[in-house]
Amino acid sequence: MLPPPPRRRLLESITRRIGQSRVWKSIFRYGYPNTDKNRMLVILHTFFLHMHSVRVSRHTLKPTYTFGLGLIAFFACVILFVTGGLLMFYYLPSVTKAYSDIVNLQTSIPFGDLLRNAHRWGAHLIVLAVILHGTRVFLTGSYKKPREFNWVIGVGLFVVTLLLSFTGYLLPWDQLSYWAITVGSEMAGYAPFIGEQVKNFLLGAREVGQDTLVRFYAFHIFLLPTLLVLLLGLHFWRIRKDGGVSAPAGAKGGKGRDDALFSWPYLLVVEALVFLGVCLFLLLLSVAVDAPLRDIANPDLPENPSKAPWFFLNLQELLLHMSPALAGVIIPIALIVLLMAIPYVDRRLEDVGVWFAGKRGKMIALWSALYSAPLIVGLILFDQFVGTKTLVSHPDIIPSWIIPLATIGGLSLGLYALLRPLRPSVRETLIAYFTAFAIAYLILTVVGLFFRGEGMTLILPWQLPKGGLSF
Amino acid sequence: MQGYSRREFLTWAWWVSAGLLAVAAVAAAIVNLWPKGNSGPFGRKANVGKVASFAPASVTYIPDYRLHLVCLRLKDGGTGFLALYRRCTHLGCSVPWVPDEPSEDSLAPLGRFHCPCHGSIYNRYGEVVSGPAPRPLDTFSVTITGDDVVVDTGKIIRRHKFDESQVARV
Repeated sequence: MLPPPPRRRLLESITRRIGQSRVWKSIFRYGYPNTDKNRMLVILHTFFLHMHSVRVSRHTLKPTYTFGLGLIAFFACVILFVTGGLLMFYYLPSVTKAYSDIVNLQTSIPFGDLLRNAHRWGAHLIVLAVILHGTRVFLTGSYKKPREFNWVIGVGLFVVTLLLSFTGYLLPWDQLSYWAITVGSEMAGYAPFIGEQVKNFLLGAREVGQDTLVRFYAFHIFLLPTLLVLLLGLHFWRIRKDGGVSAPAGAKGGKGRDDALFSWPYLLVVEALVFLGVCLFLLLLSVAVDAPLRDIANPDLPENPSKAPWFFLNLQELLLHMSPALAGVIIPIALIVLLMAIPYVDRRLEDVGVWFAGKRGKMIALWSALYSAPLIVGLILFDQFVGTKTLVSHPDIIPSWIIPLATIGGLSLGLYALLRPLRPSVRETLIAYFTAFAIAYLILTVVGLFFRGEGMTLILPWQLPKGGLSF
Repeated sequence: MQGYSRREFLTWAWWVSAGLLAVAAVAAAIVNLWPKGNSGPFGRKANVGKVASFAPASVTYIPDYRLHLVCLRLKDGGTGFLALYRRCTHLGCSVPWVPDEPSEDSLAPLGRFHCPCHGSIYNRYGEVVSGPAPRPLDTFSVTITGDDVVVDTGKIIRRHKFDESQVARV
């Protein structure tokens, strides 16, 4: 072999000088991770990497298992923190200044439009990623023991994400913001007993105004992010304590085995690729599509239609058909509680890590979706063309409370009755209900977005008025 | 021997004190953050005009104070004023007075409140005629001081139905 050329020798001697200096060695207490020992030390002794395990099972890196959804949500969160931090330099939460600050960002500040768009589309991305990640975790049964509490933390993270999105939505102080938050906080006001107090506390006043803007800003930039970071830390800690990402029994390359992979480089490369992917996606979207900005908020003039942000549109659609207390408060809280209860109902440990618990589960999920979809569409059309109020309108409690609750209860029992002959396991039953409700949620969101026009009347998508979409 | 040891009692006492301290801290935070309800147009007595400037059966929108001032002819022939808060009692949209739509009361042939958001319709008295609104429009109390109509925006008054006692007589 020939001796290395002079330039390479120079580079090597420089890196060796730096790498063996006292300053460098005081920061990095290991050599470059090209030996197994250094690959272990880099993970254990670097603060920013020590949350990872030294080795990871091959199954964890399988793209068709996790789809990287948790990573996508986390990296979207990082981008939101960065863009949010930069936006703070150019925004004041004042009713006289906020709107013009946003216009300023879009027109005069270098990269201001990119920052604003990246923040807005990043917000939509994180909500979507969190929903898909939660669905993946559920469908692979990864909530089972010992991961039950991590699932509960995950549901909490979902709620905090939605609250962050909701509080952020008000900040541009345009017509879309003002009326979406007015409707949203009125729904909160319908909570029994404490509703009015909760609403006044949130708004800081009788109506959405300067006090509300300041409160929502404080929640959005400090209180909720602190809560998010605490819960995220707990969430990641729990992943390690529970033995890493779940896997089916007998998966190849388990951590304790010799064919497990070192996190450096295999896991970190995957993380870097997902991060670059998220950045690229948000960049392209931010360059191509501008975040919406309507006229400045005008309390005299409600937007018509006044739609909540898309992730709450399913609730807004629901409240066209029943009492707002039921649709806006009781049902969402009940669903959150039921979600949290899932790991404590399904006690079987055997089918962790298997999508849909197997072939039968897949069939059950498919049929549940086919059961739920036409029913939801049918119910919406029924209310439109016939209406529960034309059947029974007095006393009001019947069409507002009793009929909707009876319908939901009856249809849920109907699903169970259809399942019974199959003798489903607990998990398969949960999959059936989860799928049915998820499909209902999806359809309600789609109807709320594309099929509701002025005065929230039912229309066809091409008849949507200008400003009929709420993103 | 029965009872608690000194150690057990003191441990219990420390925990209870810590708990009380936590409760006190949370209560203090809530009291600190509680809204005062008198910001902006609320929490003051507003002079909205002279009695003579409002015709009977008229509805005047006063945007600065977020209210519609209704001048009513009462059953015994007298005149009175009702100040209706403009927020729809369904989900909070601002309800406009639509003068050309047919009236829902016997005071005049035309004019009613029609909320654009979900179609709630109210008559001059603020009562719900149709739509998803659960109760009549809220009111502010009105006093007639000499010639002036004065509305107290400090308190939003809820009601189940209209009653002549809610009207301020001239």
